[in-house]
Amino acid sequence: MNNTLNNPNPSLAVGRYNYDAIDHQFLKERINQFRSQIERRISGELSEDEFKPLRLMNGVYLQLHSYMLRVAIPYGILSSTMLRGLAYVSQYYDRGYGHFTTRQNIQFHWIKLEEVPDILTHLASVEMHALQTSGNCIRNITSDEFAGLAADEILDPRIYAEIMRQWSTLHPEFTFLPRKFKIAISGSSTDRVAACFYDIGILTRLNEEQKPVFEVWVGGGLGRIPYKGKVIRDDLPPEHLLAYIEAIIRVYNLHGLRNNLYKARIKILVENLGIEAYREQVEKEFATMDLDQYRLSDELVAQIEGSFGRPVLENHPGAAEVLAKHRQQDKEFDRWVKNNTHPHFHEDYIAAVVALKEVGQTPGDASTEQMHALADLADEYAFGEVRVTHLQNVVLGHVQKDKLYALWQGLKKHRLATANLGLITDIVCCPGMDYCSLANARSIPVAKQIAALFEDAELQEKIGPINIGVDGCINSCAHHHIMNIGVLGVDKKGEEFYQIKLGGSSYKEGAAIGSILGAAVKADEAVKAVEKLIYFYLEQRQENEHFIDTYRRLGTAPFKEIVYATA
Amino acid sequence: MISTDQNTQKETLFALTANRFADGRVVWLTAQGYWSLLLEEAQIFSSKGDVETAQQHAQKDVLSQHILDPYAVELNSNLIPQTTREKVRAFGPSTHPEFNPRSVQETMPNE
Repeated sequence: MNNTLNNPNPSLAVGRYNYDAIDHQFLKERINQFRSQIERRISGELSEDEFKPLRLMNGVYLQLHSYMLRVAIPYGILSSTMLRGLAYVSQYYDRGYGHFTTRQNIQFHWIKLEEVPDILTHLASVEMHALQTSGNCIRNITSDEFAGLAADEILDPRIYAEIMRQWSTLHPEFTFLPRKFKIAISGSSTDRVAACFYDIGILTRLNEEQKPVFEVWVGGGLGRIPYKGKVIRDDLPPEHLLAYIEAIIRVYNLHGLRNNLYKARIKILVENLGIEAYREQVEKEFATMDLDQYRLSDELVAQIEGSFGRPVLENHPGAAEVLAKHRQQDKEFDRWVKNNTHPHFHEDYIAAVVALKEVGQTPGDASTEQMHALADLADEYAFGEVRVTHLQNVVLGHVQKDKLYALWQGLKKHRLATANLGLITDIVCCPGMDYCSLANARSIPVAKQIAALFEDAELQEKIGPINIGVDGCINSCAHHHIMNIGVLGVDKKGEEFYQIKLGGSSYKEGAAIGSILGAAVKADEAVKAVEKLIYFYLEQRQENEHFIDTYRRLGTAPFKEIVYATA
Repeated sequence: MISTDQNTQKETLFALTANRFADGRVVWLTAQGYWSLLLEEAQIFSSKGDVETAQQHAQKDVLSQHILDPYAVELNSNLIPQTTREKVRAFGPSTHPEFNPRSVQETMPNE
């Protein structure tokens, strides 16, 4: 079903929607509007209370040390030009780095207010913006980092993510929702987007007639009260995508609580109403809608698809053999290939995952120099396309197998070849109290200390697949609720403590919210606790078990005992 | 009157902090009335009443778009903030010691 090979147009940036004149004009007008609002704020015409919602609508937050600008990376796709644009911002308006988030955004943490319009102007020149990165609106829509290349893909989710982006950006009904609203979409039935933990999560499957249909999850979420979502419809024809999600959000907009910040997300409404009652209301709303007006016709989808650049994937006989030879000759490269690549539907290509998780570095951070290096390497080896993952790594999606070794050597020069994808040092981490005004505790130092304990590559492989998330507050940007090991920073009278959760799992198959292990402990004790948990697992595991398997077999009690017995 | 913690009878001191309007940087009110990036230049208040009075006076700097959200921070007898959050604000992100407002290679001090 994958049509990546169809209609290649080398003049367009690969993997993403390329702006037309209307898009450019819209951004220009929006930036001018915000420039005027900033000028009015600086002159005192607008108070901070009046200005705050305006700056948030443009991605500008006030954090602990400075203003922060959050820039959207729609469905996680960057062109090399866009990445160089981000590098430019990091170099000339920030402090030489950017932080990739779990929602396929990038954050700059040292921004001056009066420079924001110039930054946005520069970003607009590379077809980027900071819209829908804050506020109670439909936020940046995330997608599968292997979209358009995965062998199991049924349709390209980026096309539908782009349609939803255009539909939601200026939708008058959804500018002031009860709370923020997050959507993720995958074009395959394999969940690589954590669909059941989104306000709306969309997976794709083939129905009995072998036609693509969407499986729509609703009411998932993390934060203070985590919920696994529920399937509201499992056979939605793609042509009705907009109508159906609009119906879902209309019901939420009508009934969602607006007087209690902590109970305003759709997950609370779905839980309170029950999925059957929620579905009934959505179907009722859906039945009243003019579906012809909302229908995503083949022509409309083709029009959007035509604005996406596509790689010209040629056959390269012998490429796999060259790769095999390189792996045999260089064990370090072999390890990286084993851990950090993903199969491509074209047998002569492979997807390379660049881990932004070098031990000692802040997870998700990329320096100006690294951004430039990634852009150059993407141009040379991956059709100029870069993907940002929801686990704070980067993917170069279409790499010729016989050129993978050269790419890896290039990555190594810039400390981008850490071979730890899916292993214990591939830690997901929020900015925490080193930056974030919402945080109760620092997360980055804890993540770094855990990673340092397991730096040895052989030890990491011995431990095997595992994921760890470290959060500085209950908002759960690092997804600690749904990680095998989740670490949550809490505040106790001004001191940092950390609670540990075990048994979380992010994806549809086996999706679970972790269980709290016990009382929160101080940072050094939390790091030691993770170490104890890992060595206990290594002692107890049976053949071929991963950490999560051993945990599920044994339950929480023995893990709790091992952590707290000598505490 | 010097404030004391009712339980420990330890002396509590205060400084007045805010974020600078132009760039959001953490600033501290000095005895001379300007706002400094350095906690060590902050005016130290020995009573909660005094720092609250200063906070009220600082509203003029809010209205003139100089600072945002002034509030009192409790310090210990070594003039270090009591809470980790305020230590991070005062000395910069612990993961980037080079961003300490004093621009020297030092980490967040222990009490």
